[in-house]
Amino acid sequence: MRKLRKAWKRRASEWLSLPPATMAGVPRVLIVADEQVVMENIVGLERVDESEIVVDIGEAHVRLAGEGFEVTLAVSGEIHVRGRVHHIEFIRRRGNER
Amino acid sequence: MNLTYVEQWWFGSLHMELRGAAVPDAIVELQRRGVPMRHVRLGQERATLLAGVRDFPAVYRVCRARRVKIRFLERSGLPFTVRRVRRRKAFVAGMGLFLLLVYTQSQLIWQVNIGGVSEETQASLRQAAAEAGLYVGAWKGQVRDLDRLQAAIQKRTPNLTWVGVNIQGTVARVEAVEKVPDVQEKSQRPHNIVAAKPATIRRVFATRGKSVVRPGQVVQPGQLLISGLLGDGKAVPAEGEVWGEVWYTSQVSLPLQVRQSGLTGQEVERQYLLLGPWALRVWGWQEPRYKASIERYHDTDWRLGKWRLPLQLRTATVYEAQPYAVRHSVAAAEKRALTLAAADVKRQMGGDGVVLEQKVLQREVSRGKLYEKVFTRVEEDIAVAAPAPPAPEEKKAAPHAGSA
Repeated sequence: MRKLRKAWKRRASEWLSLPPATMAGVPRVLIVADEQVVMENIVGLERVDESEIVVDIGEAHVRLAGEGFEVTLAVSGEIHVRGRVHHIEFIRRRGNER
Repeated sequence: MNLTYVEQWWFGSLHMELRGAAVPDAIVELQRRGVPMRHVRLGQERATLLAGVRDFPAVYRVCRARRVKIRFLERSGLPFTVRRVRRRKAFVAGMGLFLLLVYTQSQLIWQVNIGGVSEETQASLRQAAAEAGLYVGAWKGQVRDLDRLQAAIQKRTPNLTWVGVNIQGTVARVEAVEKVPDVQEKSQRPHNIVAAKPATIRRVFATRGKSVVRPGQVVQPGQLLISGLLGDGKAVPAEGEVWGEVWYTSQVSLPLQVRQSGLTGQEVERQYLLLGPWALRVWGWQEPRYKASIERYHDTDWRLGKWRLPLQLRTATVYEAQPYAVRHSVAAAEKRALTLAAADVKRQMGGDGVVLEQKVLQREVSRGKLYEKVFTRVEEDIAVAAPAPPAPEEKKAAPHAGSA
């Protein structure tokens, strides 16, 4: 049922030629230069450290590596990170099941 | 839209330091539980973060379970601010009092400017405005109805044609126009015509009333010239002209030598930059050796909108002057003395009159000055209306005469 609704939404947004990011419930990662990362519609934090942050975005994990990380905002479903980002990794759940 | 910040401010927030080996896990756990956090700064087995007061029980529970110690760094937000303010009641009261004072003071009239009328009228107009309710210290609410105020002021000042009141902020401006006094009507009450000056009568033209003097007669001031009392007992306002010969003597003195200074045509120009009270010379370094000089300034009027700039340019021109003396001959001075005497007599006569003769009674030249005593004979109208009625017993006949 949920899958069907998701498919309908996707089709509707394609038909209206809307960017997929505007759809509700889709995880988004916004990177501002190399100093700020905003993640929305996430499931939750996985690991947090001064030099590494792993975030569960549902179908995958996003791993940020860098230095001097500060989580400027952490609410349910949204995370703002500030710091110098060296490396961003996208880890599919299929290949890297925890 | 994220309301975390507003929410944390409204309910208050705590700045905490977490310490312990499991700090990262604790933060992950808190995030999973949906505890909003801000400014999570991570370090070696420690972290500082800002969380809402309402979420503190959750924070405490998570940290307790993972043996993470909590230390409070700062409390901020509205509840804490309110608590601090409550402790400084006098301060808050002062702030409120200040606002109240500023507001009430701005509701007063602080200045009443009056324009458009002479100085004597200004005082009476100020008085009338004060009686109408417009004075320094009056409430602005009192003078809100300007039309009524203007009418009230004008009612109290009958010598004004128009009164306008304009209130800008705390300054009231009153503009008024005075009535032009009309020509005084000739009195229709019976009266006589008398002499204004000692004179010898030359011609009498009585257009109304009975002439009682003849040409050649010498009259004194106040002497009856044309009577308003007719032969048959009727009293009329006497009218007419009485031309008489009047004598004046004038003292005249004028210098024979006049020192004047003229320009030679030599000049030097300098430029100054005016900045507040200072004038800084920026151009024109010549220092001429003039014996006498005249300086003239021309300042610019640079403005930005309606504000005059503090920086202006002054152009100063130094002209070389040369003093010299003008000598008048005694004959020329005498001629001028007679003209001066005639002018002096003309001023004393008032009205129109004719100079019949001028005679120099005394002449003296001393210390470069000519002193003269000039005797002038003139013919002028010496008739003035006497304010008093012709005769006391004729008062009863006056209304009767007026109807005639």
